[in-house]
Amino acid sequence: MPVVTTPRTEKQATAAAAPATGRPRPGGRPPGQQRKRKRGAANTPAARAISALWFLTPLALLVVVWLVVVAITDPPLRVFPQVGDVLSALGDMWSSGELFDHLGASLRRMGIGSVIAIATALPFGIALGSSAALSAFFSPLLRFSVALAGIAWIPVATLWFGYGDKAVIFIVWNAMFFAITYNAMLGVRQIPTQLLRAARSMGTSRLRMFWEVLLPGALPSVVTGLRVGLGYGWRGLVAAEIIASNAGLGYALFQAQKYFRTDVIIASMVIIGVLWLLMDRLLLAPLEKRTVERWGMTGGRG
Amino acid sequence: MFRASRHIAVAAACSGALLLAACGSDSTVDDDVDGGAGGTEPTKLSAGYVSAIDQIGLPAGVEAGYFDEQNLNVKLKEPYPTGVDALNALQAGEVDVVQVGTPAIAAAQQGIDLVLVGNYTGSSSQLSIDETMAVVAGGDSGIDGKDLSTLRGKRIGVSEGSINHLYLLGLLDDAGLKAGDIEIVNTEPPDMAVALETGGIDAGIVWDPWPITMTGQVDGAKEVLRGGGYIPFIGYLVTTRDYAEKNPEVIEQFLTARAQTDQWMRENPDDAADSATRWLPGTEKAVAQEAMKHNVKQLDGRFSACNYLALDTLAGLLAEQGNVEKGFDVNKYFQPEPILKVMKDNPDLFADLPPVPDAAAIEGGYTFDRDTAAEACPS
Repeated sequence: MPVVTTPRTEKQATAAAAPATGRPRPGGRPPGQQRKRKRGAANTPAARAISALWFLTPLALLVVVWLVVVAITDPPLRVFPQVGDVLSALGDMWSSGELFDHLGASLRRMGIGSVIAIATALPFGIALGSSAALSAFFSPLLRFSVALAGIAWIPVATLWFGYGDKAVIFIVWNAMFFAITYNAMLGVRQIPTQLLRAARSMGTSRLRMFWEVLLPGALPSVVTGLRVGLGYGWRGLVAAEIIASNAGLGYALFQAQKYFRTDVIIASMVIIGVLWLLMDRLLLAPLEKRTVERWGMTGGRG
Repeated sequence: MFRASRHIAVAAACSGALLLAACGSDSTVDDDVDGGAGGTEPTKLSAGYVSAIDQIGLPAGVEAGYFDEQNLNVKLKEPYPTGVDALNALQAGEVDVVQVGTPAIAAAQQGIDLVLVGNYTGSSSQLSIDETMAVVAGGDSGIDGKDLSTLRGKRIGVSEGSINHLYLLGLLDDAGLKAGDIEIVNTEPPDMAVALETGGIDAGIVWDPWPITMTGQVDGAKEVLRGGGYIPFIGYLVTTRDYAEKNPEVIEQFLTARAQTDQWMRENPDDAADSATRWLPGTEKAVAQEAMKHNVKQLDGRFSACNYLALDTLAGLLAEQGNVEKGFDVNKYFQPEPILKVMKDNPDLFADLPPVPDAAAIEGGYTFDRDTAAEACPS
């Protein structure tokens, strides 16, 4: 049983409740030493090179398999293009400026949809996690909605918002909202009850409770929700762009289908996948590293 | 239905006759018995069509028994959502023949070894025919079909790269407008009504039956223009080169049955509409009847120089939009010999159609020349 000391002030209570203090767990190393060793190891050029290699090797393997299989089976271009054909299609899209039009449109919609989804889902999920009554009330609705694929909303989205950006942004929001909400709610529920009680007993304000206890405490689960939600958001975006837009990667993909341009279809798929990897690598992973991992909340990974 | 009744009666009579003949002779169950034309088993053929009212000729022909009369056992696949899907099925060997319009151009350029053996819609007596196309505008859009300059600055819904898009380009050309003078909103036909209702577009340009359903579904929407001969509408009976070369007689039988069906549809548009309600799920009878009035004006299975010119014109328009490659050689894809033979052997099946202009008439081995064909085909 961990020893829980009773805080005497609001500041102390918040500090005790927040899992972000880096205090050593029973039997653990002092946090300073632990962080220093890990950060130092991760920052060496060799470590970075190894990390990059691990990241790229499966992708390179996929490309090699693709090269070999297409070379052996030699299917027509319209059935399965070779790697070079796809690169050539990418080059054409780049030089014509088409690539940037589609990228710009998709990223803009994704960006707006994500910001709205995070801004609405995070407080809602945390509220559900901190209130049993609220959670019980919304639970059936939440479960019902999780089962509905984002693209199922496209027909009503176009009916409510017409054709264009609004409908696509709604689909992105919808695809992300429930995943983020659900994970934020679970994250709050995983915060040790005694820490919440400690913070409350010292009269911590609601705002401070949200920013300094609930949000950091739920962060591992929130980051998972963001990862899953953004993935769903991308899927929703691609599907919605088929019917409700004149630009975007989804639009490009399905226009290419009309003209049997499988090289353009696969090029668009590659761009979508690479964008997601970049977003995960450059945005979500650093976020996780600077918060969850830094605060020692990785659940055994660290 | 009358065909079905007739066939049941014929089958019953034949069965009775065969039974009597068998009882009155030394026949055994192992003896060959005449089963149809020429005493041969019907040839099996699988065919595909798109879920569109102008493609109803194929299922209607099956339903009425015209293929049976040609000793063909035609199996229909579930209707494909688009021509692209139908062509994919053809390439995959799922079907032997499909009905496809403009997607055939890109498919041919991308290497699907297809040939065009007949029309399911179009005209062999003139270049431009577009009776199944219409412009449906919102009540307060200010678009007037008699003054196409009113399209300027409007948001027009078309599915990009389709014949709807090409019809719009034809209208703009006639009005002296450029594509930049309007805003094109990429909208698929089933989504047109919602787009118009929600103000996403000021007008939708689309083929039947969507103009008819749109005017019924959207308050204030009205059909401000129909047809007008702005573009050549195309739709072909398509098979693979390999199948056509190996089965010339089957193709002839198939085209004969289609010509019989087309004539029956031209003479009985309401019955054809009735058939459409059975083969195209969700099609209301009144809508099908209205659409069929326009559809039958384009039911011309023949080939002439006008059909080559129509395909060449649309391929050029699509290339201008950057949707297909330039330099599409129509000569490589038309295979007119089977339909020319059907036309020669069965002139009565086409007697109710406008005659093909003499200068546009073709023979086997015809080579297309744009200037000559343009002179031969009234626009």
